[in-house]
Amino acid sequence: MISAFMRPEGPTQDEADKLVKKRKYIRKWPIMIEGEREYRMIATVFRRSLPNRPCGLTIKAHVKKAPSGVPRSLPSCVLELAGRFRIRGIDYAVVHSCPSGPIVYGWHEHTWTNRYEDRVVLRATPRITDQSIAGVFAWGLKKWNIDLGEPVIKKKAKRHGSAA
Amino acid sequence: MAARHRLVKEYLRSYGKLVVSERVNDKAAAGESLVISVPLHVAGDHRVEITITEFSHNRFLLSDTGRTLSSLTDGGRSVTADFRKRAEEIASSFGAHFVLDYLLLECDARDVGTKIQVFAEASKTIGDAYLLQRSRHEHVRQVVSEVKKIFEARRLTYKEDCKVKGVVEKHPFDVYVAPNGRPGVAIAVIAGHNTHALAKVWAFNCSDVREAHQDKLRLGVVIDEEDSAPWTNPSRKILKKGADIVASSSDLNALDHGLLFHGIVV
Repeated sequence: MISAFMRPEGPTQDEADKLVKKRKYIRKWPIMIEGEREYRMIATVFRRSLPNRPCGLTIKAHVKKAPSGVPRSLPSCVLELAGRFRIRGIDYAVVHSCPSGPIVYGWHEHTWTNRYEDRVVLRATPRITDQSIAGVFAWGLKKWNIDLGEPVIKKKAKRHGSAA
Repeated sequence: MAARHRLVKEYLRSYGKLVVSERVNDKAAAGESLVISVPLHVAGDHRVEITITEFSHNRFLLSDTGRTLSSLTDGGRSVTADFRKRAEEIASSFGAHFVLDYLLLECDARDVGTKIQVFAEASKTIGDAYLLQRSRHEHVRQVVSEVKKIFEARRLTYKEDCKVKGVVEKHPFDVYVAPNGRPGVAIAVIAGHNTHALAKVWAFNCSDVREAHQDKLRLGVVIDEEDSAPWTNPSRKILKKGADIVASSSDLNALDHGLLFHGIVV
């Protein structure tokens, strides 16, 4: 069944799950960018099997700057496909209802499904211990199979002629 | 009358159960704070959450801690300057305003209940922007305008968003120059996640139009690389089989060369 909220150009759940499962990497730990309204960390994700060719995935974390006197917001992190499909995400809510499962309290992970797109949530496991933007970014890297640093390409040793 | 009271009472009882609150411990806040989560949903099925801070005696500050706009950006929707302006207009109609990306509303202790309801409505109204489906990808529009500039520089009179007749059906092209002594040209800017299927569709579209117009019309496809999943070589080959000119949004010179090569401009 297709929901009215679904965007037809989006990935299927299977495609999204496969992308998350595949081993990936980012080239280096991104610097924190101080924008006018928020701090953000962005990195392009590459697949280990296709190094140096962007696979359409980006990992982004951001936290809003707070005006003085108001409680600060908590950061969030998303794994985005083609710049607009949150195939995975982590953020905080007092309570978050889930269209296909139990209500979740606190830190939760968004997953991509065919019917509900990114609206399905699960309790964040492992628990978020570092609630800073860097901590949430690191959680996303670990959870979504993204390594830090380019893979080392091993050169095959040349085989010399067999024994005469 | 009694039945009506019972219904209202039942509704309020159910609504009360759905409202969840949590204390906030943040030293940056001007006073004691509380978050109230109300059963109104925005992007990603997030509930509207209102942080209430008593910043001075009997004076309260309601805030969304930036969640209204965050839920949009996290869900892959862009918050443009135009949208921000519109959001500010909507906020002001509810008596709220934006400071940085925080939606804020000040109120007295005696009307805090009413203002919480008004604030929730403001946040929900702005946050509901996610329901507006984008008819076409935003970046594609930028590429189309760059393609138009090439035509303008070459002094070619073109039609925009034109449907070109094929043997089987009509096909949409972004820019169309009618044949006039020299061959005409129809250009489509394409983007999408499933690039292989997209290539097949456009290869068919081009062959269908070519069959109807023979040599009078050249067909071009511009791939919007930024708004697509990475294009593989087989997908590009399929497109090249169907279209006369295949250019990438990152290299629009190829389009210019194509126009020269096919004698559309001299």
